[in-house]
Amino acid sequence: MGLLHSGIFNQLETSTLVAVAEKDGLTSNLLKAYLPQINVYSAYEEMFKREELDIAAITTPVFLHKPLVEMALEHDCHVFVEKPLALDGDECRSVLREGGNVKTQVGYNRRFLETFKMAKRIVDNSSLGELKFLQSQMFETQVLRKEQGWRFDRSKSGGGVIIDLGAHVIDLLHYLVGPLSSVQAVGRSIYSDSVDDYASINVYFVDGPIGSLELSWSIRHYRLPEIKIAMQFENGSLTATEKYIEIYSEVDNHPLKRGWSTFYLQDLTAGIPINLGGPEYTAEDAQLLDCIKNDEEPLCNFREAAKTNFVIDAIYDSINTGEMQKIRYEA
Amino acid sequence: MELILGHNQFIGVSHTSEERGRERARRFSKVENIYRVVEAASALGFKNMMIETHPRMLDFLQYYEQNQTFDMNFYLQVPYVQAYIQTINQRGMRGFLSETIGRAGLAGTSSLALKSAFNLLKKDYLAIALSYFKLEIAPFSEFSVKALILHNTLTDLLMALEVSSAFSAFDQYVNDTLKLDFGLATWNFSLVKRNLERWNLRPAFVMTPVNVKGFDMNPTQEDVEAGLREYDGAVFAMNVLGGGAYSLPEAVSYVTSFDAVRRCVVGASSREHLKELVETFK
Repeated sequence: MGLLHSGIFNQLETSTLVAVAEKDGLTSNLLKAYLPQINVYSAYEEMFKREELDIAAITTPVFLHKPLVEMALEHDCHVFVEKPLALDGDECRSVLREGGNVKTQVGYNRRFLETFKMAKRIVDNSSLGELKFLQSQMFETQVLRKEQGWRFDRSKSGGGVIIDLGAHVIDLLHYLVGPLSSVQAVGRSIYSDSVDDYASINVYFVDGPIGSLELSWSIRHYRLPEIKIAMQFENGSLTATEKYIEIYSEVDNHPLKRGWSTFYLQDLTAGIPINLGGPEYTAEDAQLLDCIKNDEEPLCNFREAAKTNFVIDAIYDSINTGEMQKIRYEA
Repeated sequence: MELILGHNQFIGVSHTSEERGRERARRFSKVENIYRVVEAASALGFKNMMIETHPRMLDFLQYYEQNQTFDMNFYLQVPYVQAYIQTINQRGMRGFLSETIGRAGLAGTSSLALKSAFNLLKKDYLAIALSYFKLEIAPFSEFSVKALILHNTLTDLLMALEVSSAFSAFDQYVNDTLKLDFGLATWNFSLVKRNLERWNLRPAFVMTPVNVKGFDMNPTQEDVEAGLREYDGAVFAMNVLGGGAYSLPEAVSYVTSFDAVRRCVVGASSREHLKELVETFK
């Protein structure tokens, strides 16, 4: 992800890549050999000390997010950090207390996909009436044996599929519906030793709707991480995925027509300045730059992103206690 | 306009939905079903096919070799990025390199494994990358491969970071050592065109989305259209039909309006669809 965001920031009109901190000797040697125009550091502390950075893009394993974010804030840098914001809610509360007069964006990039943006417009405009309940899921074929690496070490990742894939869906539920009141969850390790590979969660929203969230990275035939959110409204239904949004409306309520309508990502997405791996990655970085320029708040700043960590804490508490857990959003 | 048969439909990729991709993956899990579609394409005049070094394509080629009833040339897109990204994410760059060097040893190419290990010590990373390409394309080398194409993920990342030396090294290696044409796939035609001009590089062709809705014609459809009109090299169009989402006559009329577009990569899952494509392009 570091290379991807480096490439994007290097090509966007108002930013240029000037320095990289990379602890792995092999990767940093590779960067030094082929990117002579940038400064490569093996210690991030050194990079912050020597460079006058405007923005820091943090794409490390999750356990390093908090110390790196804190250092970036100390140096008055605007911050992009990959999702989740931190290992747990307490780390998020500590980061939020740091504050700072800078712009922040957390990499919940699905908010920037046109299919989910269209879903948001339909929910906000009440085009289909009141939301009653929803089913959501995120699956990927990733872990079909015991795997190695920081993602499978709870102390470094914060958990398994719930915090890795699930964080994206929980963020979208906040974006589309609003705050959750409580959750009740079951989860299980299947191949991994210390992290969850499967979870099924009942979700309750503050405004009334209820729903389900099912997560697994140990499911076959899902070659890419894939979200599906199916929402049932008073006057119709909506199913949103990364690639399409399908709407069934029982009323003519412009721009929705009565009956079925399907819109594909490729119909909804205009050209973007640079596409490395998907328009959503560029959109989140570009929005941070725009917000810095215009003194506006990015769509998924630290405060917004921390909500997802708070919900994930409650999900793990529910799995551990076997009981429904209320969400503690307070910072 | 020559049509080249794409392979996305055979490996479970769909531009419109993953459900559709899975349905295709099921259908083409029988390699014979892939062979029948490619055979039908050959009968309709297709001479070339675009493939990735995906394990499914290797299965197809083995079946093709054993049952060959037609001749087909192949454009080979490398590397198989998705597998690489997954390994790097899980095991880091060092783990990825160790695993690949190990693979070279297991594949009986121990000289390649030794050479890669030696290049690692010398920090000659381009030489290592080229060794990996060699390893990845080795199983495909006995087939009629016309050109090697750098996958858009790698092209676009290296272009965005402005690593010009990588492109000259790949170009030289593919042309001089492998004696093949070298092409670039990209989702960012304007950036690639600009950098190729700056760096004075001329690949045999550039493969990029050209479609009526402007999807992945970046930064804007207008900009790419202007670039295509100016570009004096060859362009292969991809994502022309939007995975079936666009009207076929409209899509064909749009892509054929650019002189630089010499070939068009199209996907089809049945003889009927292939026939419809061929007739519309005529």
